[in-house]
Amino acid sequence: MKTILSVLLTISIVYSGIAQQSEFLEFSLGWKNYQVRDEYQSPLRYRGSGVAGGMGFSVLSQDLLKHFDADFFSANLKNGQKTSSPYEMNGFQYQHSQVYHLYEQSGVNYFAGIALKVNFGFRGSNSIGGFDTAFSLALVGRATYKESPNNPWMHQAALSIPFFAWATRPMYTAPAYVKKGNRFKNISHLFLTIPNYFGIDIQIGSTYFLNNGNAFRFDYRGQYYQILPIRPIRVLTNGFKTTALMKVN
Amino acid sequence: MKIAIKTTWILGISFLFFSSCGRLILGADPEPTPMIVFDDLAYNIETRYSLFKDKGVDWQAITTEYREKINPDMGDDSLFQVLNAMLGELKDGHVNLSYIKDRGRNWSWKLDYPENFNYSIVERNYLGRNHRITQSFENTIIDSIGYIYYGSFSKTIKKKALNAMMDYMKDTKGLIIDIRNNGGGKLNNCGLLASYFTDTINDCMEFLYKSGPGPDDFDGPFAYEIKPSDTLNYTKPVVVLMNRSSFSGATFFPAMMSTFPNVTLMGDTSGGGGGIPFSFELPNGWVYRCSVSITTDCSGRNIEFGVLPDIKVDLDPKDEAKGIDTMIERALAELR
Repeated sequence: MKTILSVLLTISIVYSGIAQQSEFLEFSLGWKNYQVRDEYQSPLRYRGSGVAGGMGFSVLSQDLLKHFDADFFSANLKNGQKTSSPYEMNGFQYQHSQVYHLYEQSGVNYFAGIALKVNFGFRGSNSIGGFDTAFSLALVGRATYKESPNNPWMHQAALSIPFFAWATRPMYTAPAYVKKGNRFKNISHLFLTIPNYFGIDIQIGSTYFLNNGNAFRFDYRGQYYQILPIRPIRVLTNGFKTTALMKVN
Repeated sequence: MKIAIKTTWILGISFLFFSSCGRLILGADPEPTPMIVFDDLAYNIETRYSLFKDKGVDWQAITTEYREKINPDMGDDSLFQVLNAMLGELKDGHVNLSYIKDRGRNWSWKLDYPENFNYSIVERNYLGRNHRITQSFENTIIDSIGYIYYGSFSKTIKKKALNAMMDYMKDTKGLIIDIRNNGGGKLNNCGLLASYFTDTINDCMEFLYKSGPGPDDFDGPFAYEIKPSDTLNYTKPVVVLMNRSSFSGATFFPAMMSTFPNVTLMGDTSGGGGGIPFSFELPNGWVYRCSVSITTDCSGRNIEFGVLPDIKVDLDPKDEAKGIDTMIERALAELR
């Protein structure tokens, strides 16, 4: 995990050096509701809520919006049965989106571009457990609106839909023991497209710019994704996040 | 200001929409009626269990018989009894059904056989008051012969601890590894411990993994390889003591050790448990597990039914009454 974080931060720092526009370092804290159905292990839907936190980096300009962020999430999930035992969930998400200005209409600026997303989800209890990982490329549409140049509020909405993914899921049988040397034999690596991998990610929020150049952003984010081959899994997340944006350039 | 109010509304509506449509998007849970629970278990065992052919079990006939015992008004306790009895037909120690009151099992693989173990005798008359407890290994040296009692493979072995114990044992004439009443645990522990008793690379077992719902959907075979320990290789004579309660990991371990020329397996046939278990959940939240693999030893024999000893020895009740462990005595005699 440390290695992954280091790589992501390095990427962010490299990009920050390239950009010449307004640049912000971001720290976020929020609350997220998580629902999952991992059909191979259980016919039941597990759900729960927990705290999500993260950090990121964004570059804002007239023509280009770049955004990197890494989020962690942890919660105890339960199914709806009376004897349900806690199912611990730990998740990590990273996304790098880059969108370009298309046009403006009635004060609304429209952008389109691409996003790279990384998603890890680990779930487990004493008796059952599972995981999913996916690296996906998504098309992103974004719109921003400011009532007037002097208004401190900027409102934004983004929608992204992945068109290609590489995912990893445990194969049909036990994840434990299946080792030869140090290589796990039972992990399946899948190159996927819609509908075997499908997702939708909606973000709606408002940013309030302070006089000193820093800002606060208030976001709602709803996500759904599914990985169908081998062990079908469907995940729905939904939550709010407050982000402090520190102007660094 | 108007746009801020609008945005707040949109956020609120989006949140409520997504929160409430979890059931719609992810699908509703199945109704946990006795018949739906039964059918879920019956189907998933049929498609996931790996040892039907080896055990000659006609699962269709079994499920037909037990389905007649299901009625819509039966309570949890009655349903548990029927499902547990059905799973018991598999005669597999790695098949269990658990709910809040009980963990169902069929332990005929050990209870139908002599116990062949009395820990009190081992502790008082062989390990003694001052024996070492190195992690999970209780060990001592008896007349220049090392004796290790290892009661569970569950706790991850620390290599430093194992090195320390093997260093203590390195000058002995021979070694007894007693895994009687060891109910198993982590396969990695078996491989790690075995790696100290060979100086060559060995393919000691092969695994086949259930890879799909069909009866012949298996992946493999995958060889399980043991590399010699890089710390110490004990190639002097070793006796592994086992009984019918040496189950799962304690069946994998003698299967691995049997490939080494310096090792003798002694006692009773091990309890088996060669199918690696995996756990699942039923529509009512109960958890069950079943074997999802097949393991064969280097001679191609399925170790689900246990590993055979090279020398068959039982605990003699007359010796036991005198505080003598017949099996340890036989092992000591073999190594002297």
